[in-house]
Amino acid sequence: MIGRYELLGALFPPLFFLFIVFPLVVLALNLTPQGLAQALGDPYFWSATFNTILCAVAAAVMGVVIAVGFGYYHLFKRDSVIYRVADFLNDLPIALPHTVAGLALLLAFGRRYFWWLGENGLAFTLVAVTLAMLFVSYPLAARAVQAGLEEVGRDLVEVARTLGDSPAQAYARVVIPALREALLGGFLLGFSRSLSEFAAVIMFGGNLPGRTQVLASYVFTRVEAGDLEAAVAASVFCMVLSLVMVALTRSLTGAGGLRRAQG
Amino acid sequence: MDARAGLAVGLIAALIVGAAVGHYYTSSQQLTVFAAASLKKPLTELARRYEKERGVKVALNFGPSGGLTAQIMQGQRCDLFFSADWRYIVKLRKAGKAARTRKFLRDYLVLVVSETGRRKRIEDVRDLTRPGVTVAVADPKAPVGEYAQRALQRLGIWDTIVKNGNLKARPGTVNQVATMVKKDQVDAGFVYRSVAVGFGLPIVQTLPHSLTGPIVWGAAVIRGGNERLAEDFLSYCLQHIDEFEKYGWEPA
Repeated sequence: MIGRYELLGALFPPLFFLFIVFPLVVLALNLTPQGLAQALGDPYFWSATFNTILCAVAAAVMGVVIAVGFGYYHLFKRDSVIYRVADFLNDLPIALPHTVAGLALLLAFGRRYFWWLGENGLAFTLVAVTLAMLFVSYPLAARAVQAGLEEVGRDLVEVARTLGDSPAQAYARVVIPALREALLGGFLLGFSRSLSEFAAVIMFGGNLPGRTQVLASYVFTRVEAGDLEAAVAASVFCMVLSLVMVALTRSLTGAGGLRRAQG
Repeated sequence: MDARAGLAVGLIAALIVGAAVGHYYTSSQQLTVFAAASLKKPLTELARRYEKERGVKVALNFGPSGGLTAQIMQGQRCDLFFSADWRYIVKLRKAGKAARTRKFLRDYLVLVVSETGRRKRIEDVRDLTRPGVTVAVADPKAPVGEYAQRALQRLGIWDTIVKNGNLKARPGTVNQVATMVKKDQVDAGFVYRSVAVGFGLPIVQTLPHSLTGPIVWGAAVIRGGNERLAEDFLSYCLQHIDEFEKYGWEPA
């Protein structure tokens, strides 16, 4: 008879592999040579891939930068109105249905208020694609930084402060280097989330093949059309892209951890 | 021991969930209708009246026609399918999924303009080639995008529109095009007449089928579903075709 606490551990493998891994494996198994040839032979697929990587990296970096700022407030200005509001509103973009997010971005950064930037404001450009990705992925970066800060602890900051650092100095010299793993984690989460975003990206970015189309919207329009083989191929490619980024980040953080242990 | 017991518990849980889902789908005595999202208003109204008159429960599921077709192909339970495009009906028929098919409604591609578009005096599709005009045409994977692109190509102005950079957005659905025009984020867009009516967008020009190709809404009674009830609801809809005419469709 297994104990109450072992049960959770015993349940993990079947649940995880059935509900999380199994669908991914089935997707990969549905990959056909024809679908692969269709996708890889399509110049729009490659421009979509390029746009995706470019914008997702930019969005993830921007997300981390904003999150680092949020972290400063989290550490030193927790009683300020700005921090309370930011903490409260952080997760809103995740809860919003993403076609609505796209509409909100289009209305906000479209030509109604940003007419002076171009005939459509910021809309229908790669900048718009990046902003759409940022909008949906920033909450993940912010939460990653927040979790990282809890780990770093206030002691480290106190030591730096007693040595005469101002809060900003202590944050930049002591906290941010210690947050390395959290920042990379936040970057990775933001990047992966950006890869999968299509609704907001289509509405605000424009989904113009060769110009503003990304992989997720490429896949979406193909699934819509019932063109499943190419869609599956492109999706598997997305998964591979995300796995490569995970491996890359893992190796980076792994190296960071090692260096710290040695030092 | 632990791992094996865990595996057993997990499998049993999955089986129970699977069986319950299967039971729910096969035991319910209702008519399941899949329909293109654009048919929502008239079909909801007719289903409500049909339920009241015949005492049958009608479950409506609205979505993009291509996506719904894919679901039916994958064996999702459905008795009757209304598609926004005839090609999906043909696809189902070829796959042996349709017991009976019928052309249902006819629609037209129309040019709609936003407030700014009206100020820029866009009164004809040829005005879309003018520099500084911004246009949204749905993605060519969506039928409405394909019709629009074909019509503009037949008029010989598609390349100019693209070359001048006037084509700004290729949204995935016709409703997104309508939203962009309605919110004045682009000057002009191409939507179905029914969608223009639904969104309250003024129609500037109606393109004939000779340019777009036939735009026909289709219906399919799905094989293996509740075929008799599906036939009955389909003929009920055909008898009350005026409900669809209110929104800009014509009987096919």
